[in-house]
Amino acid sequence: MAMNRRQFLYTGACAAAALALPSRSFAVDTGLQTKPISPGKPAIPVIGMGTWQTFNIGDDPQLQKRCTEIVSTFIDMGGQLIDSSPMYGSSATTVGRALAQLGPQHNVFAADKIWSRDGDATQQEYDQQARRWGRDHMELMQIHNLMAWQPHLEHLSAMKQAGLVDYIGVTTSHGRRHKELENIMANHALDFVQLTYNISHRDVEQRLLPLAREKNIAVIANRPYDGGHLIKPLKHKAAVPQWAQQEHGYQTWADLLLGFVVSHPAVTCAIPATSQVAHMRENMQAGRHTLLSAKERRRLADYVGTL
Amino acid sequence: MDWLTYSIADFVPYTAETYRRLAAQINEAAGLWRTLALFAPWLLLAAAWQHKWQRRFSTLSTVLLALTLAASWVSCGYIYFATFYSQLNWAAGYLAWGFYAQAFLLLAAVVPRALSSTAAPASNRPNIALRTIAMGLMLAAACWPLAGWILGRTWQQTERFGLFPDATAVFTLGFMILLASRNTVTAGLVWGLAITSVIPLLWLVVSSAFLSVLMQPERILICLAIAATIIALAVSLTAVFSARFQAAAKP
Repeated sequence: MAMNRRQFLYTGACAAAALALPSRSFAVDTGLQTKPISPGKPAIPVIGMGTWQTFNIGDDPQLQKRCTEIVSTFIDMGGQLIDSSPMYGSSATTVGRALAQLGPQHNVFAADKIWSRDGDATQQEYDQQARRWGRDHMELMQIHNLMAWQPHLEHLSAMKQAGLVDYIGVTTSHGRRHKELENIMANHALDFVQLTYNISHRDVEQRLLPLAREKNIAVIANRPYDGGHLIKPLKHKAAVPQWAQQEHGYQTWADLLLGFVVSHPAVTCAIPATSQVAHMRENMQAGRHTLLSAKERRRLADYVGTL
Repeated sequence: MDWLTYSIADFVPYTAETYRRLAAQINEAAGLWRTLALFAPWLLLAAAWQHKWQRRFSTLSTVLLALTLAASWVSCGYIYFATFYSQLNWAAGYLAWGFYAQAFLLLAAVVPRALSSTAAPASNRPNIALRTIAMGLMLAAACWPLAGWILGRTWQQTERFGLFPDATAVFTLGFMILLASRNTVTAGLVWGLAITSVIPLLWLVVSSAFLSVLMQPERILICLAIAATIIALAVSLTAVFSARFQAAAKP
């Protein structure tokens, strides 16, 4: 095929830019554990990133710089799923700015939410959040805290059919409305469900997680550190169990607690939020260890229960 | 029904660090006003002390104080809530309207009464307990930046009267209690106090809840201000009802 001068220069510039891009752009094997969204669907890393509180920074340039570093670290270490919501203030905008600064060559799985009492505002909320992310396509849209879930779910299903979004789901947190969530999971076509699951909040193990497995619904676990309340007391009370260090390589309570969550067979990924680059590294490290067996998870839960 | 499943923590979608840095941004944007905001409550307090401790306010000073306070509420609504806090909290727009409404209520409750009232009778002595609470609240509001600094903020992050809602609400409550601080007060005056106290008190309750979520020590100061105001309201209402009871008991 003939190439004119303009095309030649453009192609050359693109090739030069591609060579100059950081290694994260085409990183494939980062050592992170991954799990398929559902059988036959792509796999995503077991550690994602939440943005509740930590990315709601308004127009603060200094905090934006730090958030960009956190997103950069997350992507560099193989992270993909980033979760936000219209309820989180400027979080989606902060993520969007960070991604814009990092350039287009990243493999982010954009997860956001619809949060409106108006059941007909689904498309409007989608457009608003996609704009904040700087994208025209979102991988996952969820209905935040089951708000007006019936009309929103209908609209989201139609949007999925139209190819505007790849996956749809619903969310809860803090153990709220589990009965209603169970009914929705049992009777509606969902790709994802998001719920609170950590070593001190395990009631979802009884019905919701088994149901998710049965229905092939991917599970995003929020609040894996119970909003930060778990780590400090554990650090003060005891060291990380030797067996977890020796057999799996868990060095800190932070990565062990994440390991506990993502090792549940029904959990696809956990989404810890942080405002520290060092903590992001620690979180991502957790996704590199081998997963705990059911027996080890029980052992760990029993041990933490005694502390 | 949806809203009943939310907790206070759901309405605080930011970290303590971001919240404090927002205060610094507001002070920086306020320019000269941030310095004025530092001294304004002291000037108002001095005026209140001079005019009110022994005698009643002059009409002019009452109206000027009410206008200044109303302007402070509008300023908080616009600068703090609508312009800055709205970046962090989706509810800020609603809160801004509450602050504009309080400015209106202040003017409606204070100005017509100040313009029409006559001098209080000599027998109607000041209620020392109420005046102490009132001056204490106004003094606390004037010292708010200093308290914030002592409690760990940088000076640039300190909250000032007229720019930040906590100090403005505390000062306003002090001022309204001061106006009603006589042993014999009319029901109208106490209702004025009650009506103009609703929004400041509600805000302080909300603010202390938010600061508790963020584990900020200022919440203690706010709880003390709320307690002092409730005591003052109870004392004022008791004075009104006991005066009515005595009047009804007379043959």
